[in-house]
Amino acid sequence: MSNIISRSLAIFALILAMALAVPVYAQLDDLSINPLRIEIGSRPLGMGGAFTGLADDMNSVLYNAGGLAWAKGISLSMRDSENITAVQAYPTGFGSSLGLAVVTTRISDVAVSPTVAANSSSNVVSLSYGTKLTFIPQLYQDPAFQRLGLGISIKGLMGQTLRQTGELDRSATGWDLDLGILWKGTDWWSAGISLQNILPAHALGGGVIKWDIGGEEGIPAVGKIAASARVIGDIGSPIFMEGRELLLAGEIDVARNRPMLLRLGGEWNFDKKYYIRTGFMQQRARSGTSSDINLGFGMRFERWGIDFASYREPVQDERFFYASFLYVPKDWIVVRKLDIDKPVVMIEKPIETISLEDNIITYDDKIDVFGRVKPGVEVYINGLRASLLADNSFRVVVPLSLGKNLIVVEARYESEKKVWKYKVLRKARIKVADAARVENLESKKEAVESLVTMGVIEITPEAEFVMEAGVTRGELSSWLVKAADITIPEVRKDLFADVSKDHPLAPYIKVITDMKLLLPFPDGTFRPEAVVSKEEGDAIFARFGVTR
Amino acid sequence: MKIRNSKFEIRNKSKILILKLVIGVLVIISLFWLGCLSLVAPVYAQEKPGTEEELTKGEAVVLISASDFMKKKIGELLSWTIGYDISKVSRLKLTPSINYVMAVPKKVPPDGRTILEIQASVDDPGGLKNIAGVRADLSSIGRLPNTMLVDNGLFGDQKASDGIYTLQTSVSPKIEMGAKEVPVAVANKKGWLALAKTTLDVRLNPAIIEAKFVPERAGAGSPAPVLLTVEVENPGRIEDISKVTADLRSFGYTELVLLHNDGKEGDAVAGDEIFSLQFMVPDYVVEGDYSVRVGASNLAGGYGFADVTLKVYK
Repeated sequence: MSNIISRSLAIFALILAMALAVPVYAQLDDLSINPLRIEIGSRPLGMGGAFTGLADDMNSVLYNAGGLAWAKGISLSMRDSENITAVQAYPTGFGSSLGLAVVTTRISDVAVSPTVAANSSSNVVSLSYGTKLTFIPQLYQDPAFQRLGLGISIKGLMGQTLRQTGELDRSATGWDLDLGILWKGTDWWSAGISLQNILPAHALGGGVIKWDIGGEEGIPAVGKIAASARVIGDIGSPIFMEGRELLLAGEIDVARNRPMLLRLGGEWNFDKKYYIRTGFMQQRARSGTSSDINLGFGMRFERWGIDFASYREPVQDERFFYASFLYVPKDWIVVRKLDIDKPVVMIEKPIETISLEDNIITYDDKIDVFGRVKPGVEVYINGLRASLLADNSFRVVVPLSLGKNLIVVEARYESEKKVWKYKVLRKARIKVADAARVENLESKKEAVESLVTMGVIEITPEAEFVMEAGVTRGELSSWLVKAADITIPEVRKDLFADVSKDHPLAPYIKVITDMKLLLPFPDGTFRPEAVVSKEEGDAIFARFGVTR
Repeated sequence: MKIRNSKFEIRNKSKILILKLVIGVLVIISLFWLGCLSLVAPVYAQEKPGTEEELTKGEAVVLISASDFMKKKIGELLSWTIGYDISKVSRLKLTPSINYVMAVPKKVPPDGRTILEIQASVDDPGGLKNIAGVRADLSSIGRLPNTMLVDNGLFGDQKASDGIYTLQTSVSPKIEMGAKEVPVAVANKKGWLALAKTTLDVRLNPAIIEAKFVPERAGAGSPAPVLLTVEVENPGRIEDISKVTADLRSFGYTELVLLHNDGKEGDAVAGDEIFSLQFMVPDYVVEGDYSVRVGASNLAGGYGFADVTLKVYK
């Protein structure tokens, strides 16, 4: 695998070197306009344009076709009536997607000199294909190839016009090629390479812009190395946070005879519904390099989404506002025909039924998880595979720890995977021996349950809790130390005549006597079994600000 | 004298005064130290008169729960948005385990009759009694995709309840030659599954592993016999080799000569993989290198051969 990747990188480097060697001369380049630069889309712009290493939605068509293998949906982005971009990523169901983008751009009133202004408009159509290579039978079994996406984009400049004061209007056409790689290292980070406009001049009739007046113009090639990481997020992220995600992305852009550009971006989302973005974006401008901070905001609904971004247009050197409308059609699910005797599987809903629901409170030390999946789907619960019966049903017993438990259910179908999480709180079951003579039994029982659940009080499952029995000095010592989360010290010598260093409560008694919450007796004993008086108890808890 | 006396009195009074001062200072210092000592002296718990009211466990629990730090912890315990991270996912080993899976023999002819045994040694965190079943997918060798292995001491299983599950089958004659994978799944009674697989080689033809003459050089007309030994590997059982032949027509034999595996005529051990033949090189055989083809046929209709050279001298 590493050989293949290193060979691929070597080939990419060679292609980039060839592409960068294409001479760039002429009219648009003087204005710092690259008509085949189609990096639009409010989400990427909101993140400072650092999207090559992320490429996880339909904007992959514009930034890195390698990410198309995982992308689907439609996006319509608008700055104004003359700057509109439509993008579509359509999954084929074989670990690949087709992409189509139509980009209409107009750059107005570019001051070439105090008396000369230029206006440029262009229409670019891009056809893309991104795939995971797992359609090759020899590679299908290798999980590494399920994380590697390769993509290609063919970009056609359908109508480039340039108008300058005092000069004849001119128009041009041309086409070029982009290649992209996206490597999803794990579920939380990915890295990408994008080589844009890599076609050598005149190769296959492309690689240049052909003007009706003024001959031909080279298209600047650009190479990008990028990475992204979901540093805060769901299970598998370095920092787990329920309902929150922080994505960080960065990339470096390299082009011949031009300064290297840096782009950094971040996206913070709440409940996978509200998104705030910002980024630092460097772009090539007439005066050199334009650097500015971009801002963005987005919302997602079940099938719809909307994104806004504010960014600086480098040629006009003005801030503009972009809005994108997203749609992920329900029918565009990954559908694949299996063998003849198996029905079609829709990974959209691989688990037909499951017994779990979120936020379960139980007193049991185990929970039965059962349900039914679609044919061909494998079920993993907490990373372990469940056995499926002939009718595709499953039933497993999941043990529960005291306190909080997270049950992770995964449905795997070929290279697709869906994950659900269920929260289960297992509370300690308490048997009260003297329930009949306890006042406020329920509240006291609930308090005991909480303390036992948190490990403050330790009782065996079979034991009964006697509410009205006196609490001993030893018990109270351990309860207080555990409740206050005090670090228990190492006891190296006997504490008292009746508390040796090996006494199970010795560390707790040491803490409590050091804090003078409980005192030893004059005869040199601590008497862990002696009962605490109400007066002593009141004095102790008063120090914690608690009175009866 | 009086003056002297008065002087003497004055001196004595001064001495007494100094003495009193010293004593006073010493008393003050002593009192100070006593006071200090009394301040750092250990404080002890008071012996209870026995009639004092006890703090009950229920009361202690309520008081602990009312503390600020405990209120916060209880709030966190009952919160559905705090603390449910990856550390709360159980990592207990619940699945059964497969120690090994093997196919015996490793090479099998697709004849539908040679017995192929699939053996799987399994275990479970809950003990062998927790194993619900062991199944093999035999579709790659033309059999059922969900065939059960048994650990009951029957049907080829050597010992009941030893954790080694066994299945006897054969390779369908419709199966093409080559390596075949046989996945084996073991499920336990708590619904967990473990998978493993073994590979076997579906092959029709026997292979000649080694063929040699002893001695390597033989004299024409020599009374000492030449021993030809051929080591054969048969897909399936060696008993299913129908014949092993040698083409000795260069040495005057009119047809293919059968090699022995019966412990006779130069064959050392009966029934093993080595077939043998003793023969003489007639005196009319001219000097030179003679290539002898040895071939092995099996009951499945397979045939394999190899050529071995005998140097003949006059």
